[in-house]
Amino acid sequence: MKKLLLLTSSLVVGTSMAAQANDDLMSQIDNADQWAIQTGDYKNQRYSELDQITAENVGDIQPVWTFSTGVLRGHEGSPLVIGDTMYVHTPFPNIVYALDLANDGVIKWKYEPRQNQEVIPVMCCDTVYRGVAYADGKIFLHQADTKIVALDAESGEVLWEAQNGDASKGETNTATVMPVKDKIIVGISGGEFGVRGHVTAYNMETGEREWRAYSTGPDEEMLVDPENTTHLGEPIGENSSIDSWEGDQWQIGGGTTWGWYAYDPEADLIYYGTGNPSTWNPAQRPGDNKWSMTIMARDPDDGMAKWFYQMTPHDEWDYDGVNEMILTEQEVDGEERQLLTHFDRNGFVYKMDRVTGELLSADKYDPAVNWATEVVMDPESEEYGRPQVVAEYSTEQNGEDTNTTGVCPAALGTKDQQPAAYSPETELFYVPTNHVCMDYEPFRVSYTAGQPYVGATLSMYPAPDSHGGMGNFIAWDGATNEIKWSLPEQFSVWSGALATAGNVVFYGTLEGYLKAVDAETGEELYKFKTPSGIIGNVMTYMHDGKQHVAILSGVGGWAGIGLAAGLTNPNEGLGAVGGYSALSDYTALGGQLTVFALPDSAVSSGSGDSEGAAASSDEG
Amino acid sequence: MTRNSITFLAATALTLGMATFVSAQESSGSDCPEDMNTEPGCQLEGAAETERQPVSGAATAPVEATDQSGEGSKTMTGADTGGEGGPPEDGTGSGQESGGAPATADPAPTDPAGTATEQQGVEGAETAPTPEGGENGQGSVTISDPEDAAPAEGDGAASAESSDGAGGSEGDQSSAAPAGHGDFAVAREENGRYYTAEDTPTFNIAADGTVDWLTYSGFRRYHSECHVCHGPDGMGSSYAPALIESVQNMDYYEFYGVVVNGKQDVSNSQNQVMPAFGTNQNVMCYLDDIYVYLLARGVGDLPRGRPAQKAEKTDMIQEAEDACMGA
Ligand code: HEC
Repeated sequence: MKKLLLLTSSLVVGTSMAAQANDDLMSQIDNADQWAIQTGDYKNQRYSELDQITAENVGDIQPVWTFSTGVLRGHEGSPLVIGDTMYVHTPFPNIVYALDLANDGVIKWKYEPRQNQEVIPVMCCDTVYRGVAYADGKIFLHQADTKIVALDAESGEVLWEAQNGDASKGETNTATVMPVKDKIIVGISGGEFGVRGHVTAYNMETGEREWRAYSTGPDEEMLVDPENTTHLGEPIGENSSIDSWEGDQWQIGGGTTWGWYAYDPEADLIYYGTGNPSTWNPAQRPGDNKWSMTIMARDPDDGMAKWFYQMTPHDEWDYDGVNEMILTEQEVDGEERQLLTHFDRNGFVYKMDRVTGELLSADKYDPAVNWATEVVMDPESEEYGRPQVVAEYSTEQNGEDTNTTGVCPAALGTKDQQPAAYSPETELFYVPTNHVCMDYEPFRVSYTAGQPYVGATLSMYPAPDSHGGMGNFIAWDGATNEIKWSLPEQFSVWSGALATAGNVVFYGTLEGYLKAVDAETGEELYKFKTPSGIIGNVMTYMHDGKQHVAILSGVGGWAGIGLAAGLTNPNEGLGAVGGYSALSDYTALGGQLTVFALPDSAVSSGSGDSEGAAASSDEG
Repeated sequence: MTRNSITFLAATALTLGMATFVSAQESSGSDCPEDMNTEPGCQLEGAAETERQPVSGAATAPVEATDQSGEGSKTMTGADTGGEGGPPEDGTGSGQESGGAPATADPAPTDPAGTATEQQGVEGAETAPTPEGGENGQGSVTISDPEDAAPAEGDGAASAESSDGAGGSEGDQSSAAPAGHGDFAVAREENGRYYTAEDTPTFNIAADGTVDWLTYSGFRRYHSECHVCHGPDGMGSSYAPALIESVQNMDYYEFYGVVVNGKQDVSNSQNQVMPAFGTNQNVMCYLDDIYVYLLARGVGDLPRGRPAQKAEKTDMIQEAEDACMGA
């Protein structure tokens, strides 16, 4: 059975497993005309089969309609399209709009939750929200204050509500939820407030809580089986977490779960990563701080952990492990493997066997990365799977109250949550990256519930001795573990990418450009400056015989904070101060959706593919 | 070293920091809930947004945000904001004459008719009920650090005691007092801490660029506690104001009050919330440090980035820190 499945295409695998997963959502996802889940599919590939817009004709696309969200702060995530309805979300106050695409985008309904604004200041880095989820005729909203609301997708009526966390302790939400089977899988934010991370499953129909798995603490509370839950092939053993912290530190030890989730219906496992251990001062929390900074594979039915892999034991730089897990089927050494590829904040891309949790490779995906030389790949070694930290860049070894300089990447990582895309056609990953380094000085802090618990001073600046910009958009070849091409960007690329069957890759920039590049070569084919900087994710859908590409603008998030006034390099002396451009010179706040399509002249009626392209020489 | 001046400060904070907020709410006459929630239909009429744009590079110009609505801007008059010479030292005093609250300190929601403008800020304060944040602030009485910076004017009660225990004024004012920083010039030094003639904390940058310990410490604490919203080097972010401008437009007590009690500006389009840090030792024990650091950036010539050279941390400063942090 397994063999057979391995040989079939991913699409078929998906469909044949529908009975196991959420039937409705799986079929919605399989319909390429829609965008039914924030991540494009359960595999986080952000790849669309739509091919009306191609590398040949993308230069002709135009904005065809726009929509203001009425909210100013940073806009992450993307709209969903199910049938004729588009669902658009906003940052706090987390408004949801249902737009009727069949009726000129009229607002079918709008839902604006009541939330205590006290939650705003306990969100570490702007009030972002990465979007709603859909399943079984319901829209799932996860508010900033961690209330989960199920709305009737047709009417906007509230079906149930559940409270996941307590904002007065700094527990907040920025992530989307993932519907799997009859459940909603829900994470939590607050690593900078000493929140103890966990993942929780709620019943999709009733909102009842079904299980919760903490990232740290006693085995029962982490839903691990000391004998059968493995780390790089070995059982994790008893008290694996508690033994890796001093005293009760794990209770305020972070390991939050605010990233993107993936699901493999065949292995029947969900995948996600845990965030930084709290505080940012490593001297205050001796030990490996398990299971912060860890990739986790769990059974969605009961939450039981199958395998873990801790990428950055005893973090010293705030390299949260929450970035998306991209599931692919590719050959490794001549053998077809079920892979999980993860571009971590720490600058390494990890390739794993997603069924067994075996580590296949770990490579730097930005040459600037310097905090570790390598990840040990020899299973016989004591250090197997551990990064080899460079003493010069170790904020732990340099100690409290010492400024460790020149660490690459900066705390925001070589990549943060902004999701990469993968094209099964080119077998390339398209990765939005930060090209930023930092100085990091840890110092002692005390914990107060609901107050920031940080304990380090950071300065960030563009990677030295490079192109001077703060970002790159790269194509990563997972087969050879090499960068195929890299496009320098002036600012960090903080937008989620989209790859399409039309051989085009889209991404947004902080200045506000939507860009389209050739999936093979990276050649820029189109750009358009939207009203505000882009930290949202590009999506695509088909409506009325036309392929549309949509992007949320609305500068903010970490990028809006760090880059608004520009960065400086304190190590370059006074002369260079102020030498880097400020994002505020390029863009201002404002949430807006911009939707693109080919002009009529470029779309041959009916056939809906690229043959009309040749006819379109202008923007008619 | 234990002292109750913090209580005073917290109370001051209340009146100054929260004044306009509360009074505006009262005068709005709408049925908004106490917490100004984002309840649909609840709108503070005339609650014009005063978004403070972080304007980079505008080192000296007050970046005072004008109201986006006409009537709001009348209220704010921009009067004292325009002030080239910087804001009045004493926020309390100035408020009465020139147009209500010191325009800098409050993105004041204004009343619909724009009538209450003159007084609403400061006067409202006196009768304002104690907001939550204030209680927090007072709850932090044990925090003993800030007493050294006791106020000199007005409410003399607390200020009187400030000078004791601070080691007496060995007052070598002359040592490094930089000229040309107007109201922020160093008037005296006390065990490594510097004060203005008004007895509020200030920075000291020696001729060779060496900064006083508090300024250096403020750099660190700022980048730990504030920078996630206010951006690197006090330069502002996409949504929170550039504090190197703010410290020029609000006095020490107002600054203190905002940090203790927080500040909110929430409406349909705007979600500006400054947290209340009154109970947070990581902030409260270092608030003078953060303040003088921001002054050094805004008023002095301290460049962006980590100060290159710093003065020694004096024993007095260390003791105050230990006492405050409960070490
Ligand atoms: C969670 C985000 C956040 C953090 C952290 C934060 N602030 Fe603020 N702060 C704000 C926002 C937003 C405003 C604007 C509030 C308004 O307009 O009502 C503000 C306003 C202020 C003001 C008033 C400025 C003016 O011009 O009126 C001061 C002073 C201030 N903050 C100081 C601080 C200090 C000092 C720290 C660190 C100890 C800090 N803030 C940390 C978000 C934050």
